Amino acid sequence: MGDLVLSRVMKKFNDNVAVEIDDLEIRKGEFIVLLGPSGCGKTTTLRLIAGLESPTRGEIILDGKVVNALSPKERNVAMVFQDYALYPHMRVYDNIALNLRVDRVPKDEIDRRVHEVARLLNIEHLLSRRPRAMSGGQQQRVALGRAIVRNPRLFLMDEPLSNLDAKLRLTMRSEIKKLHTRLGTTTIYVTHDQEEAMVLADRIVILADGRVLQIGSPEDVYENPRNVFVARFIGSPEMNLADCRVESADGDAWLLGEGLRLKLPADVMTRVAGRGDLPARVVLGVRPRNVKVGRELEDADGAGEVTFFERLGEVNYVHVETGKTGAGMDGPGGASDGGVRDTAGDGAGAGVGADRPGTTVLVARWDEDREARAGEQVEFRLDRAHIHLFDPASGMSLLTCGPRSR
Amino acid sequence: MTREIDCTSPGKADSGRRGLSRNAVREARDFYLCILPWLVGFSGLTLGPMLVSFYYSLCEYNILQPPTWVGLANYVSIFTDDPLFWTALYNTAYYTFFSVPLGVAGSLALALLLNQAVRGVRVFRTIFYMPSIMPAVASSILWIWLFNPQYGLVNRALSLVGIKGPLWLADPVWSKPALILMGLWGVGGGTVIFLAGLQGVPRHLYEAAVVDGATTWQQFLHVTLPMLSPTVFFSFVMGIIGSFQVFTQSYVMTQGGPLNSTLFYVLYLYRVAFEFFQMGYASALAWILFVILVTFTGLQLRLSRRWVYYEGDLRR
Repeated sequence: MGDLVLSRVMKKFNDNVAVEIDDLEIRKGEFIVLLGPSGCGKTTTLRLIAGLESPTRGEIILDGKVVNALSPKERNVAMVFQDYALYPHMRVYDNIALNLRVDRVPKDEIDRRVHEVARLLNIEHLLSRRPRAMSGGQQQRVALGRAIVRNPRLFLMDEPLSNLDAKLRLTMRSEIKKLHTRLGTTTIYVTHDQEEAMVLADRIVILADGRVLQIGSPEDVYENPRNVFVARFIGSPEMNLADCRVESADGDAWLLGEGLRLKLPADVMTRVAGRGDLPARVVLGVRPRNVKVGRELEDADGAGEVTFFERLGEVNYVHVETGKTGAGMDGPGGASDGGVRDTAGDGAGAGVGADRPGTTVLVARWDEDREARAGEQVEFRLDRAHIHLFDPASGMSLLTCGPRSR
Repeated sequence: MTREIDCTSPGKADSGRRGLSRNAVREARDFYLCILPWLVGFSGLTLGPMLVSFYYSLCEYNILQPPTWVGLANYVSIFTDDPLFWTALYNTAYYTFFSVPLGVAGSLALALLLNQAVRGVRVFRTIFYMPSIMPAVASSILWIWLFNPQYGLVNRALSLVGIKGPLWLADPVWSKPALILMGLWGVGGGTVIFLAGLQGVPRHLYEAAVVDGATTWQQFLHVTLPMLSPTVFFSFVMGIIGSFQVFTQSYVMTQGGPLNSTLFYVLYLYRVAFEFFQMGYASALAWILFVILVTFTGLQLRLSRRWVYYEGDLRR
């Protein structure tokens, strides 16, 4: 038990629909991340679950019981706030103990549980401090402690790490994950940081404009984004997108884009949703890690000019303008044979990363030891197993699940 | 990330090494030019008279003749040979002891009510603030009528529930409570400050308390009150300073009576100065009041560290 279900839930503020979720089921013990840009309704969803807001319509079902009318306390949920929301006048001990005192838990049991939680979070030495005498990271631990101590049915966390500096955020991130593994409490976690979502979640719920775009494991949403929005939101650097024309020749389907030309392999064709034909135009998506770049490649899909070398240390990236080729470019995909000059810019709705008419910027991982020079001519090849095709009008994926996902 | 160094603030960047740069000199000049009117006003109208009054407090001075030096004689006779001083001090302390806490509590309670999202709440806010902008003399005269033992509204209301009201201003036992009650009329002023304070309480704290299962009363106790503690503190400090100087009501309504029961400190001081023309003695009284107030305020500041929580403390 402990399942949480949101059924046909809708929340309006004045006349604006903030959230509309038809069906969301969360299993006991799951770590669910609600992910989306600001204003997408993720925090409102969390507050609906907490009981700090009540839905305009629909049902929130906890353990098989509709809890719409119950207070947060009666739902037995605990919440961690972005700004910690610690009581400033209370010592850490009292901050953690307050909700037990409200419940009239016997003194010695409160004492035992507070110390247990403090030990777990490594804040035992801070118990007699006040919030203002602690760092942000320490305050965050106290906020977690206050949530843990009551042993709730649900943990709700509203961007709990976003007030911390970058290094501490990484530390706390792994601690939250460990904590979840150890306690096994169902957790719903709100963030706009896709990396945080990927690391923490059992399943990610991606929201935009108050609606669920996709629900899936981190691997699933990464490998099989259901639409362009998800494709761009998950993964860093962003997935490359290019407008392409579809042409068939000798029973093979070819994609022709700005400075790129590739034959779709048969296994991709079998994954075209509904086994139908591809539309005349598609948006091709490929992640930077699935693009191989070099001065001369066998079976290159296209060529372009390096415009920017991005050194991150661990991994380096190059930005390649695919429409821009120097003299002597005679690879398999010359810019001249595509006839697609007009396509770039057309698909703005589909979010094609066109820099200027006639060129497309492709970001690719750079695996060579040397630094790529701006202006250098390079060829590239896309990993066929990891390409994505989207409908330029609707932005929806044209492929069913890839071979790698279960 | 590199942090930018602020080069624009005077003195910070330049003065450390070799004197003031031209820029800093110009800025310093402008600074003093700007505060000059205030400096002149303060030294001419506040600091000067204070120093002069301190000198007079060590003299005998009846305005008509030049002051003659008597050393500490005024202070000695105030403390050893002036029962009215002690009466006035007692009356003032009594008044302060009740009116300040009542006033703060009343302001806060009213602010909590006026902070609700109720239709027409702005109208109520205006109504409750109005007494604060009324001249003290006018409201004093109004309250003389309200406290009238036979025809006054207060005793009429009491008689409706079967209570025979006291003589109020005519009764030495009830005269001070009457003035304290009247003081509550002006809580609107403090309410405005508390309302501003309430706007500043982070909403998340209430939500955290709700999630913790706190009742409305517990929310007030654990969130509202601590977050308003700076406002409460401010109200207490200003309230004590203000009520130690209570004057108009007793001057207009009771002239210190009956039986000196409303002879407040400043009223006594006023009489010594402008009815008995003992300026030296009055100056000494004023300096004693000044020392009392400075001591009280200092004490409060010191105690405040234990119970006042500034919101800024929460942030790193």
